[in-house]
Amino acid sequence: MRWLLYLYPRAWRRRYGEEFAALLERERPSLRLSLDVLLGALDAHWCLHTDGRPNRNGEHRMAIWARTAPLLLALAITSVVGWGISRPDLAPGSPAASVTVGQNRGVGQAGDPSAPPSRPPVLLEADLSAVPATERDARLEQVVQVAERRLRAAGVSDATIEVLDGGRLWIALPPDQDVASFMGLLTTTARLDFREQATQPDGTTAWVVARVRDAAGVERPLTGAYVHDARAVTDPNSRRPVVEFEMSAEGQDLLATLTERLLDQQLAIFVDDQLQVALTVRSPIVQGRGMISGNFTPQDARDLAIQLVSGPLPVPVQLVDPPRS
Amino acid sequence: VADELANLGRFTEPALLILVSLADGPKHGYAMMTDIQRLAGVHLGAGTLYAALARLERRGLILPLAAEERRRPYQLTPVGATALRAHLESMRSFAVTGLQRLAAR
Repeated sequence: MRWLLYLYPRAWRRRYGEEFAALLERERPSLRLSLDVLLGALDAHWCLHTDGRPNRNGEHRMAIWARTAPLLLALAITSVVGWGISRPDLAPGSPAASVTVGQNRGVGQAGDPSAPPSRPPVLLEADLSAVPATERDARLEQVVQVAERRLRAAGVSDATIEVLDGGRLWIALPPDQDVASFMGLLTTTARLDFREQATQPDGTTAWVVARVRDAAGVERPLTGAYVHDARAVTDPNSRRPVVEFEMSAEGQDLLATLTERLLDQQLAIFVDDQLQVALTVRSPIVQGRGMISGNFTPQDARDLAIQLVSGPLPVPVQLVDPPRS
Repeated sequence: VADELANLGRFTEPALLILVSLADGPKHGYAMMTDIQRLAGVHLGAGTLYAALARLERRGLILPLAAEERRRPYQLTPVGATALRAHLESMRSFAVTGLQRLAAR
C-alpha cells in the first residue's frame, strides 16, 4: 500500500511521508483504505497545501486542478467500481462535497507554506479584542508584515509565516535558528515615543507624549514612526550595549523644534510605556540622532534596534505555547 | 473562547477522537488508531487520521515529538488540552439537557 503515499504533494511527503508509510504498512489493504487515503491526498493538495488560494509561489487553482486531475479521475473510478463491489454505505459522498477549502492562507516570503518545520512551529496569538471585526484581517496582515520585517532584519529570510484562525500566527523558523532567541523580538510591541513633563489637572507632573507642529502647522506626536534607522552598538564609555538611532528628515525637524521649546527641561524616550532615557535638554538636538541606553543585554539591544526600524506591532501579540525542542 | 474543534468542519469528529486518545499520553499514528477503535468503535482511515493530525498540529493543539524509528508520537499541548476540555464540557451539557428532556417525557 506504500504507493498510496505518492498521491500526496511532495512537501507533505517530506514532513509526514516516513511515519505515514509506517502506518500504511500496518493497515490491511482494502478499497476503503485506498479511498480514504485518496481523499486525504486531495485534501493535502487542495486544503493543506494551498488552502484553496494561489500560494506564495504564484501557483493558481488551475495548476492544482491540473496536478490533481489524475487523482480526481482515480477517485471517480474507485467510487464507481467501489459502488459496485462494496456495500454502498462504505463509499464516501461525492468528491466535490468532501473537498472543503480551508480558511488558512500562506503569506510571507520564501519557502513552501506546507514545507515541514523541522522543529515545532512557534504559535503566536494577536489580541484583536479591541479591533472591530471588519478590521481584524487587515490588522492581522499588519502583524504579519511587522513580524516579517523583524525576522528579515534579524537575518532570517526563510521563515514561514501563516495566518491561522482566531488571530493566530504560525511561524516556522529555519532549523539552524534558536527559536527562544526570537520570542522577545516577535512579541514585543516596541512603540517608541518622546515624552515631556506636563502638569496634570491635579497638580502632579507626568510624562506625556510630546506633540510638535510640523512645517505645515499640523500638530504631530513625536513617535518611533520618525525613526528611520537604528542599530545596536557598544557604548565606548560604559562598554554596555546601547541602541543608536537616526530620525528621518521630517523627524529631525520635529525633534529640533521640540528641543528648542524644551531647553533646560526634561525630555524622555519611552518604549512600550517604559522610561528608557531621560535627559535635560541643554541645547537643541538638530542632527536627529540619539542613543537609548537601558540595562540591555546584547540581544535586548539587537531586538530593540530591529523593532525600531521594523515598526511597532499594531496589537499586542503573545506566545501561545512555548516551543520545545 | 471559541470552540477550536468546531472550526475544523468535517474533521471535528476525527480531531476530537485524536485529542481524547492523546489525553492520557503521547501516541503515534497506529497506537491512536487502535486506541480510538477500542474507545469509540470507530476506525479512522490513515488518510483521515493524517488530515486531522496536520490540522491539529498547525493550530498548535498537538505537538510532534521526535520520531521513534519511523513512527512519530504526538503529544497534546496545553492549548489542545484547554480546547478539548471546553469541547467535552459543552458535549456534557448538551447530553445532560437531552437526558433531562427525555426524562420529562
